[in-house]
Amino acid sequence: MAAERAGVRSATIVATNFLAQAKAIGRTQGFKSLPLAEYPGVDPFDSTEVFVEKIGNVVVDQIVEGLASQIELAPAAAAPKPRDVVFAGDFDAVQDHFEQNLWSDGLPIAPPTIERVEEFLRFTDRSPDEVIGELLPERREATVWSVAVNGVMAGCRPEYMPILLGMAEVMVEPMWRIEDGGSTPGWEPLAIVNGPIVKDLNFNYGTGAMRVGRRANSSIGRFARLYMRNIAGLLPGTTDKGTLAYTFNVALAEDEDAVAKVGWRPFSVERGFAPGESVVTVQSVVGISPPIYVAGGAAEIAQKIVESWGEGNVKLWAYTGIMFHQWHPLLVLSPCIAEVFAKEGWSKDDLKRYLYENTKMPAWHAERGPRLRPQLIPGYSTQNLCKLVEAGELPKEYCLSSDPERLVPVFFRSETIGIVVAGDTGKNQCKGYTQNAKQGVPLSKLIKLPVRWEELLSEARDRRANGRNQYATPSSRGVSSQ
Amino acid sequence: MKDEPTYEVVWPLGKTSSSAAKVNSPISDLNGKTIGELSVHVTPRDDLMFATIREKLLQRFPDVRFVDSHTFGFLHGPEENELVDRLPELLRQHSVDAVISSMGI
Repeated sequence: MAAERAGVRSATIVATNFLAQAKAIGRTQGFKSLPLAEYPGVDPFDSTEVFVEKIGNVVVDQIVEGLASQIELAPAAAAPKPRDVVFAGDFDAVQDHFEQNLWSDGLPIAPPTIERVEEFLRFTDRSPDEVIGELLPERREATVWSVAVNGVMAGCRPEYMPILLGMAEVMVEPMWRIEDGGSTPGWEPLAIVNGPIVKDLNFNYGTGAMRVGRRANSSIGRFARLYMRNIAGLLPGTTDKGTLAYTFNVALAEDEDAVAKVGWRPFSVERGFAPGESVVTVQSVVGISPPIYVAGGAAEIAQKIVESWGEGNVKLWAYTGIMFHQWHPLLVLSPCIAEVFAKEGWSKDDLKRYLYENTKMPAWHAERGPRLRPQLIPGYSTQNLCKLVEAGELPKEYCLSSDPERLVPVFFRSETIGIVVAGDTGKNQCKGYTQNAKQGVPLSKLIKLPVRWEELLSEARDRRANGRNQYATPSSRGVSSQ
Repeated sequence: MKDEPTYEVVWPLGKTSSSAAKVNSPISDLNGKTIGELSVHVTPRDDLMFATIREKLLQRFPDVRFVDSHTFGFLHGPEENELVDRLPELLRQHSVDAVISSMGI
């Protein structure tokens, strides 16, 4: 499409599995049809002979026909105005209508009525018409209004609006690459929340912090995926090619009391914000480690993390991080682990440095990576570490010799590892979250509160205090015990 | 359900920005034309693929010329955005009349 925009005719080769995506993306770029040449089947399973036969006898004909064909532009679609009522019906009818139009994520949504949306808008001083940016691939405008609408649908409370706006500000950043939100690894956004807003909005940063159960964590996590579907237009099967993918992440809030207790810096402060500022960071997660149980002193714990996470599942994605020169794995430690480290004088930076220096893999692993097919092309490598070192893209440790068995770091820069403290204060467990290289790099935004924040929050709390207690403890749920 | 309220709901999407798409003239005869090869180079067989395409096209259009995919860089790499931005200039620089791109097999 970039070639067509540059005034040059093009034909694009795609495998059968990518045809629907190619057509859908063509439409989002204004083309009714694009010349596509289909490679039939799944290429990695074809022998070289079959591959050559398919290219030579099937694909080439389509290329010639495609270049000779007339391209048509797609007519512009009409868009309702923000306050237009597009449907009226009871709860079930609204659900059906939204599902039929692919406007929901498969879970029931809260109906976005004008009244509910306006309640969200009270929690920002920004104009509802403000265009925050444009989200690819559908090139839809992300507006303050649409953030509120999707926040309502996700089940958020109105007072979450400043965080939702911060998340939308991340998503529109070109560097975040939302257009790759439908890539085959199937990554999910993860929102990490720091600052006083964590307590203001009653996030769970303790036991079960990453499980659904607390409205702030759950609904804000759901919002991220919903916004990517509705505004970016990432829909499974067409523009979203996540092979298996997984469900949305609940928002992760750091336990800043625990961080302060051990004298560490909060995640947001490590990312350049001042202590006491409320900040939301959004990054991709493409895989999660099993729980890592640790014991002993700091050195033993660090080594266990190296062996269980660094040399475990996160290593599988190191190739991709090196290929794109971007990688931001995230480690979430329970507070008691942070205490052990701090007691022995380790900072977050010390732990990151240890992980960088002690987690190794053979160089061939980083050069061949997940697309390795040595049985088909012996000696084939898709990247050369020594050339990347020469180019200044990697530290010198990656090319201390040319031996393919030499050990090189899995984490290619210590400073790009993130560490967050959360979870059960008394349990010796941590988990690693693998980030997807240049797609969904962690970006942080200051959460901009409305001038009347305290007053509005107080009003919202008062209203709820007069109704059902959202934060009931198990003993107050009205379930009689045996 | 009896007495259930009616919800009047708004649209959850957003308007699309104006399209920059343009229609370029078809090319039915590739003789005398220069074809630029673009690839995301995610599989080790891209070079083999383009070699096969070249061989077949030359049988049908003996006077067609090709600009190798490596000339345009690694479109799925760290410099993707920069390369896409520079593409018009690169295509002009190499007098490319048509592009064959491999974007995901």
